[in-house]
Amino acid sequence: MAMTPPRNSETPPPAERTVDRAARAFFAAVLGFVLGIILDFVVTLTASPGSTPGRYGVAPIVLAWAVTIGLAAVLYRIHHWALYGMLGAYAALFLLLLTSGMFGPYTCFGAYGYPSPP
Amino acid sequence: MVPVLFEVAGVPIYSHGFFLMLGLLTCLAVVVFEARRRRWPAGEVIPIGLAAFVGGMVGARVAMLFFHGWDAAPFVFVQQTYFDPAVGPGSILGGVVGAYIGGHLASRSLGNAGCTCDAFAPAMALGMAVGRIGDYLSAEDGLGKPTTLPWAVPVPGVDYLVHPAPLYDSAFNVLWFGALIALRDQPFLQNGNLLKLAIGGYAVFRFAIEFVRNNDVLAFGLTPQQYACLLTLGALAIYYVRRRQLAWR
Repeated sequence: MAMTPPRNSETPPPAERTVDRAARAFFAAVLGFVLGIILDFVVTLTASPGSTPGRYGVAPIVLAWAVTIGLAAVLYRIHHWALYGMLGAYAALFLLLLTSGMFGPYTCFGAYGYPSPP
Repeated sequence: MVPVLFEVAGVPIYSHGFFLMLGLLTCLAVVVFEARRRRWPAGEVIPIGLAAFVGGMVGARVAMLFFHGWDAAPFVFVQQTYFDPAVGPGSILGGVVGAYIGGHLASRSLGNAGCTCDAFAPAMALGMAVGRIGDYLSAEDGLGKPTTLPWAVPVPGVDYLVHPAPLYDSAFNVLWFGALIALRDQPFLQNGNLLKLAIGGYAVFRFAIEFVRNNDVLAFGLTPQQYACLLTLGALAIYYVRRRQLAWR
């Protein structure tokens, strides 16, 4: 008769552990995604209506980057999939930006112009 | 030129935005196809893909400082403008470099020794081939320098013909995509080498094509984009020289 190792009743079998790990990764990614969207919303709110990029103060710009990088670091410490969830939020927002770009003239950093005659 | 491609229920669909989106979706489709073919686990594809995507987004913006000087600073540093559809992403060259750095960092964080991002190489080429069609149709940057070549095209606002530079870019990328697909299974082009070849090849082409584009000269007759290409090629050369030195030890 084959010897079976004594089983710790608190250690779940491998299949359950895999499901548990996948569930934790999934919820971490969702948490990161939601926090990423909320952070972008809050950062966008700091812009007063009608203000142009050149008229932002230095403090809100530095604060926005510091909070974003800080949140990314905290999420990575919690679970690496939480950071990937946050990156997913930014990717989703960027796709939204590109979709919006289809419905209007695309200006980049200035309206596309034409060269002066030689 | 065809700045508005078509209308849906009276809503105009602009060619630049349409082909930019189509190029990105094409790139994504090729990455997914290649990742499945290479049996690349989803646990690596998704983090590396997302990091490359966001790295590309930031790199495209940051590069504008190099290409347009301090005038671009409000758009580069102000996070609030990153998702403004009126501003757009920025430079393709910066996007490629940013995506590479993002993908490489994610790959390292997953415990890989180097960048396992070769699935991105043909995807990047085909995506750019599609996206450049939108640049041509919207006459981005006036397309190119004046020329009398038989394939010269008119642009609105001037009474001379110009190089269709975005179409040169598109044609090169179609050919480059075919070459990368043909080379993708070579043993010496694995573990990030195919992606490095893809970036290096595009840098060589872009350096040449800049001579017929409308970008401003920075110094010694070269544009900032050409200096970026030289920096990229220099970084690749240093990487391979160092790797060879390590292999000899």
